Amino acid sequence: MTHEELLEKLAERLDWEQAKVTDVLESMVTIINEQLVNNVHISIDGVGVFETFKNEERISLDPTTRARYLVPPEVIAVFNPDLILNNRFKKGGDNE
Amino acid sequence: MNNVTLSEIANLVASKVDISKEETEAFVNQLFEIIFDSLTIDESININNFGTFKLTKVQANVNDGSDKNQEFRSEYNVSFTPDSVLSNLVNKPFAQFEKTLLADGIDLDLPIQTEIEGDFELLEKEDLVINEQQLIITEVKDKSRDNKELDIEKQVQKKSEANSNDNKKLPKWPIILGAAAVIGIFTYLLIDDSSD
Repeated sequence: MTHEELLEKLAERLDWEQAKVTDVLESMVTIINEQLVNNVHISIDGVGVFETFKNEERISLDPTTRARYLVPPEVIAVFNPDLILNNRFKKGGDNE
Repeated sequence: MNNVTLSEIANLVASKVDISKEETEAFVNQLFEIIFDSLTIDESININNFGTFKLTKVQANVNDGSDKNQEFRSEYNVSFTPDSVLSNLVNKPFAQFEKTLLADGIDLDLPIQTEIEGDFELLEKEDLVINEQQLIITEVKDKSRDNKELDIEKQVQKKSEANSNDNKKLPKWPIILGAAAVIGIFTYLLIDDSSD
């Protein structure tokens, strides 16, 4: 499902104008992104936790050429799904 | 480390956009319902500037932990791939750094990890093929150069041997005659001086 399809579906289900749905979704995404930039965990009951994880600086070794690379640290955004959510989809979607 | 709940996010959204908290909560509930509905029909769902949710197949060990009769079962996990906008935002402090090749002799006290996946390995494999070809060409060139050098050395040896043979064949009588002539001239000059 694309972003546009999601907006349409939200507008239909909430009976809101699509402009309003767009505004609210954009604001929500901006706020969540700001929280993640500030290293704040976002816990959603029954869904999971959005958080950031720092991969420390390391040396990467190429097994074939034996060349060594200095890999800089990297902060990534991760999602740890709740056990309830994973159990719900353990057997896949309806198409399986 | 701070932790916020969806209710607090809903409050922040309500204060930013001119809607009530109840409306925001209804919005959030519907949003996740749509996400779950999409995952139920095994469809990924993309939210701009945030990321994509989808189901990924994983191999789960269903054994009790003993090494015997290892059995794996295919299961699905909900995975989230962050959008490039979010990835760049959270990694902003380290965005200016790049992976760099370490020269020989530089030892750093850092964990070493073998690169086993991704484009990096493929790129290195391609490079290796090129390097192998280059090595073969260089080896052939070296061999041809060695052969040429050997030929030149052989030729030089032959010439020097020929010269030494020529020296052996030369008669010694011109040297003796020359020496005798020089001695004769000196003797004549001495006699001539003493007579004067």
